[in-house]
Amino acid sequence: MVFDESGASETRTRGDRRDDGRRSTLGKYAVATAAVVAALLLFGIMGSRFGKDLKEVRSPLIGQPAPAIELELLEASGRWSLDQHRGSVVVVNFWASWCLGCRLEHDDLLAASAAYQDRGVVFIGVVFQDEPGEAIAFLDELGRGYPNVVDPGSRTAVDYGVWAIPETYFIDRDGVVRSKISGESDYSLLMSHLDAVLALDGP
Amino acid sequence: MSERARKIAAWVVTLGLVATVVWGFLAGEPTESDRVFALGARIKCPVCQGESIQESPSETAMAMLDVVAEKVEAGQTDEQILEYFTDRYGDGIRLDPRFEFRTMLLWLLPAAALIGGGLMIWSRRRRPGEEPS
Amino acid sequence: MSALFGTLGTWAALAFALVLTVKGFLGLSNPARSSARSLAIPAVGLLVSAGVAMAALEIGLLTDDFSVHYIANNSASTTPFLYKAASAWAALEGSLVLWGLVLAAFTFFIWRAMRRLEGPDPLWAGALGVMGVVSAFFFFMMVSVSNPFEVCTQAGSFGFGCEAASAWPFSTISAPLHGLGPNPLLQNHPLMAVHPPLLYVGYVGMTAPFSFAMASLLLGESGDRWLRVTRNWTRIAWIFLTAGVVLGGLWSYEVLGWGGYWAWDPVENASFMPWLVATMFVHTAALQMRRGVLQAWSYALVIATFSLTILGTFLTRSGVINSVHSFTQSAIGPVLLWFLMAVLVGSFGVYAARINRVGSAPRLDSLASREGMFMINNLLLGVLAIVVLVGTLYPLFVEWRTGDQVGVGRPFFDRMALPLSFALLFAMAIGPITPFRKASPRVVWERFRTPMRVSLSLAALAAILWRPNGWILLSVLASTFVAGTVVRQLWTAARKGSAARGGNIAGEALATMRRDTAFWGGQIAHVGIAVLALGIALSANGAVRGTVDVDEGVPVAFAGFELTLVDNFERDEPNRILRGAVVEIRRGGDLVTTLQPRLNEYRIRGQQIASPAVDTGLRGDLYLSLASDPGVFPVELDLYWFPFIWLVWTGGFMAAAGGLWAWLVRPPRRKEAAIPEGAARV
Repeated sequence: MVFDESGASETRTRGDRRDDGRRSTLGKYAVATAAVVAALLLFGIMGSRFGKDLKEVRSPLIGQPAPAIELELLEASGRWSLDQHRGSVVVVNFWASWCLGCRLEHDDLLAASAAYQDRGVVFIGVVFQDEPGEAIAFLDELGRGYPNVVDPGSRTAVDYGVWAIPETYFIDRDGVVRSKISGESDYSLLMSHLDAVLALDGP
Repeated sequence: MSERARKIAAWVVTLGLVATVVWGFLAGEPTESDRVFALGARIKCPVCQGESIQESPSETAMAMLDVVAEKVEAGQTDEQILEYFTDRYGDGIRLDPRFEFRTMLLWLLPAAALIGGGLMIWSRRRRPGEEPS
Repeated sequence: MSALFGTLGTWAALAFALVLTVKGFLGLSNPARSSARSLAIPAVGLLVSAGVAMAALEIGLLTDDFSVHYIANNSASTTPFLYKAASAWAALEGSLVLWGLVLAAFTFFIWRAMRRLEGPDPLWAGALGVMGVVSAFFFFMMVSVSNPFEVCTQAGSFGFGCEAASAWPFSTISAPLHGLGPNPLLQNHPLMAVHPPLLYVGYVGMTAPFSFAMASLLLGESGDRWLRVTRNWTRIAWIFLTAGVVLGGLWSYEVLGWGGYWAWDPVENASFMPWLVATMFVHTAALQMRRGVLQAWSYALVIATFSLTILGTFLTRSGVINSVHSFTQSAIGPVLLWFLMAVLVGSFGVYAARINRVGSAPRLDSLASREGMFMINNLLLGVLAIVVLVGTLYPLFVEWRTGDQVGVGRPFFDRMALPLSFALLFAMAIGPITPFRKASPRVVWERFRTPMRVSLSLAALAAILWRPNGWILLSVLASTFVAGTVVRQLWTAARKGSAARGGNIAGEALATMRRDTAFWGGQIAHVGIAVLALGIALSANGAVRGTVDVDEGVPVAFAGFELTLVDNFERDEPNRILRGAVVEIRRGGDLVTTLQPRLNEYRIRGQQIASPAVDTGLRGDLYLSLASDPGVFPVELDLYWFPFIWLVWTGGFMAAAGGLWAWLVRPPRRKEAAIPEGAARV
């Protein structure tokens, strides 16, 4: 590699040639090396993403005090406030009638709410960007088990950093967000999250 | 008019034009004086793909833009407002990543490419004493 | 039937591609076996079988053959003819068939050009061998992980769409009664029929110079023969890539309803990166063919361009990225990723092993020369490509290493691209007037000063008259400077010619441009980019946005117009229901036009798409998009005013037209052609 065969350096002195050959070789290998490094990086980055749910986002609220909820009830007059439930574990579920995942998880939410009622767990549904009439029709069809509130202007959803419903947040007895399910939940998933939150400061 | 005088006149005119353009550049109206608009362009719309809450007509984006407007009204700084959203949605809500350790390469790689490429070009020049190709 | 013929076509194409690979590489290693005749069967067979596959897919789509899984899920009997035809590339599997056909067509044209050679040629045989490898890979995907011709073995519920499929064409078929139709976004605008094929020709066309580069490296053949041979294919690919990217922007603008045409979305970036590097390649190729420098770099660039087209394909099709345009996640991802690895490691490996045989590194006489300006061009475009690449992939990198999600979007890209773009514009103005070898400052100044003074005067005038935003001013300065240097150059050459031969100036200008089409095609493209830049600056910085609630008959004022909602309508079409508002636009009391922004509801998928209405005038576009049901008052309307946004499309197409000039226009035949080539260049 010391003596390059390119015609262009023929007119130069021997010393120059050697210098030139080494330099250009280095430069050319740098290109190839960069390509291999790029290939490996790409492989690592992309390979790690196959089969992953790309929509899942880790909530920065976990470990933080839960944002206040102070909203009108959907099917009764009066308000529902998170502050009044300090001391209970609270499960906040954001849903809407137009959301397919919400439809699929509804039964499991009702079942979990019934099963954990005795252990001081309160469920609350927050209706997300939906007509009250449609939301009520949804409950008529699929059943009720816990109160629901409406969130005009999506303020509470923004406070909680909701990316895409359904999303379910778990708040412990001290009012701290402990975990979150992004997307559709099911009974066993709800159970494992609830058991973990209850175990934190269980009686 | 002598050749020399004409040259000087041409220069004076040229410099006058440059001064006018520079003045125009500095005195022109700024891109966007509206802080709500500018901040909205830096926050990603969570239910959209790649759009900012300023661009998206979706309900969520509108709600978030309202929050931005309220906080601007209340006199919060840009950083405080962005902080409010990142504390809830995570850093993924920013379209404009902050400069910190893990995002450093984002700025350093292009800069390194510029400097490295510049040096490579510089090294291609013929040294004094070399014969022309 | 389409499933059977399609399956036969893809398998046959795979077989021919493999034969082409073997025969091509045999020809590469043994000149005696490298005649066009020995490659005739696989080259022609590949095109014919790819054509059969495409025809089977199109016929199946047009005749509503829902026994094919792909057709059942991406077309419907109520879909209009145009969108049925375009459904062939509306989803992942079908788009590969088009890809394969374009690749086979390029392979065939290379073979046809090879037939005109006087004798066997290992370079050509090797290039066809590489085309064979790439074709084999794509047809392999079509018979394995991404098969568009699987038959439907289980119809979906209520006879809509298909739930399960089999690759064996003689399986028991259970065809659904109804197809699902294309994704509503993809059947809402006729540009959908044009934009993807153009982009594919651009993407795939870059395989041609890549193949010749690889063959040239493998042969250890020094010199620029591979560049001269592929000159026109590179141009064709560049033209189509340019037009495809511009049309993609136009499509977003006309369909997505948020008034934008470019969002720095990963998939948009995936088409922009190959364009940037291909543009670098077009420049270095021109320089190398003229001055013999940067040989190794040309190889690296063409390999990089090809790799980026594969990366783009991967990003769009693997589902690893959330994006407006991405196809859904499928098994194709890992296969494409392995292919990308093979391309990167394989081609750069060959490059590293052979580059010292073929690449020469003469130093430049001076950096202050056209050669130096070419390098500045490469540096700026290269850094811009790296900005786009890093910005696109960095969030994925951070998520991989730390699990954290960071967002990188428009503010980042805009901030980085802005200074680079202005630097590029100024380089574009100065580069073409800088002499080769060594430029004396006096000569450059001579050519530089008049256009500079003209553009300074225009910018100063604009500053005094309109007091525009600073960025608009800077764009006016840079764009008119680019155009000015081109015009001055043409004017000087034409006047010289007219003085020598007595022709009129316009005729001489045209003759000048026809004598050196490569150079003048480039200059047309430069002016196009300058126009595009001006359009971006004017439309972005002068845009007016608003949202209004309008009641019937009550005029609202917006950006100097009065808008009155006079009516609303609902219209049934076989595949969709249109709900729209009729809005009269007046300026100073005179009716300008009537716009009908709509909400289109696609029946089968039940999705509603806002379809904006745009009035394009010389001064700009008025853009209306419905944000609520037009039948319920007040109606919420999103309004936009984009001044001079048509300059963006015009400039983009003008850039592509520059490529066409270089490709198609032939130099005039004349006796006095004693003028040596390139003498027209100042």
